Amino acid sequence: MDPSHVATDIASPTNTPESRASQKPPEATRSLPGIAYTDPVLYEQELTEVFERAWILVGHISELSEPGHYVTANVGREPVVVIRGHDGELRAMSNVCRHRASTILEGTGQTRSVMRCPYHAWTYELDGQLAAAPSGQGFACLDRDQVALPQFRVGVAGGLVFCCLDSNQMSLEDMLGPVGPYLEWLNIAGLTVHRSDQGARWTEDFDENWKILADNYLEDYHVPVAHPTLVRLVDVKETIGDNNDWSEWSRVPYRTRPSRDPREREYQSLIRRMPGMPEEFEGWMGHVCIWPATFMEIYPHHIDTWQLEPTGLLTTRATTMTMVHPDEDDQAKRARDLMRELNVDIMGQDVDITTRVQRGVQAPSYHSGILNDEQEFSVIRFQRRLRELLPRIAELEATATGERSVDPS
Amino acid sequence: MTHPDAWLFLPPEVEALVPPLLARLAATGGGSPDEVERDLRYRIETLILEGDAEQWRTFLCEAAEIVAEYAGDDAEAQRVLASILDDQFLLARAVVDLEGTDLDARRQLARAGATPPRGSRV
Repeated sequence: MDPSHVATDIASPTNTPESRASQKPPEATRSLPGIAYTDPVLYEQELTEVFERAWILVGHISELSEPGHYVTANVGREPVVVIRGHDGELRAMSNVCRHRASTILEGTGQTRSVMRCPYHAWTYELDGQLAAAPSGQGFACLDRDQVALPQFRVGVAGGLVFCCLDSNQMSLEDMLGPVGPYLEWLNIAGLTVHRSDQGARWTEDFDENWKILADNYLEDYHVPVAHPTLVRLVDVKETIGDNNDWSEWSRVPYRTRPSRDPREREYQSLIRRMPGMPEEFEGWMGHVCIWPATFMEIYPHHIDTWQLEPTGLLTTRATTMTMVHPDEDDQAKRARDLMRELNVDIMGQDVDITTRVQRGVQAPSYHSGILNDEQEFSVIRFQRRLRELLPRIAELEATATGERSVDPS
Repeated sequence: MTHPDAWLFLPPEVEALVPPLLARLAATGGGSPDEVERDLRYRIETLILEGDAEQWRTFLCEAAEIVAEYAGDDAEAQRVLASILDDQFLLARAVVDLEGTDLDARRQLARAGATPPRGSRV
């Protein structure tokens, strides 16, 4: 989202009320139909065609530095584990035991020299091969050489580790586009994952379809309306960024003058970039959005990732991973804590909005809305990708409007 | 009860669009565009950081007067500014009740060419 487009357009002498009035009104860009947020058939397609084909963030490279280090995540309906092998290789594989389907590892950590299923102790090598099963003689037919955890693709970009189930999907590098170099530039690989009382991840469950949360994150049109703190803290009109069809980064400068709010003022006084972060990032806050539902908040003092995972048609789990400098000092920690407090308010404001939207999209009178071509540009691009991948949306649009929808391109 | 910060949804559009346009008016009116833009940016940011809805309303009335009294050649900038400011008064009703001075300001803006937006690019 680049608000400078607004300034350019409005200042353009060719963009006048008269010229607009004389032109045929442009075709409005419409949002997804409301029913797309409650349709169970579409939801199934989203799992198979979106989440089980995309590159999904699973962790940070610092969590996988030694053999046996692992992270777990869900990629669509598939529980996966990414683990460092004894040979130093990073592998992604199913985290589901081939015996009775228990998940094998949970959370993040370091396993011993093998992975053991907690149910019946089927034991796997770190490359996924079944090593042994208790009471092996009791199986009429068990060739352990033929049993292995299915392997998936793993990719690392800027220190972030991703997994993809689809062997035909484009490369991680292609999907990230300009975001890849941006992550490298920020030196995210040099950070470490913060472990709080809850561990290395913090999850929150929402009673909304995942797309409502994604739509909300992708646009800043609502920011001045819902988040006064952000109006005071950052100068949105100076936002810069870049994107491809799947990913985008942006950054916005902090205001340099103090807010009247004491907590915001204290936060402003603490903002200082981490060692290793580029000098050009001094005084900026950044955002990253990666298809389909990975989001990042890049502060000078720490970085949060926010991964959405559909857990049902109307339920979504958000997993937060916080990355800090390995030698985080008290000032950076205080800035992080204050931003966490401010974000609790901001998240509450977003939950209020998205809860309303979830109710509203189910209203029989609502079909779809007109999107702002500038400030909701990323929503438009996101929904265009969904329309391309999910034929069910066209069926729903036809049902909702009584005719085929306009070409989303 | 409206939250004291609720009015803050108003300034960002003005902060992004109004200073350069008023600078254009200054340019054709013999003023110093850079100075106008810089001073205006500072004032808007001050209002964002320290102001309230009433102060914002006062600012809108003053800006409306400048736009209405403009007698230079850049009628296009004047009309776009008038439209943006008039929208501000319409939107501000969510957080303050308009008073007589606001209605006078809106009449001035109408005379300066304020028109409702027709498309996504105002």
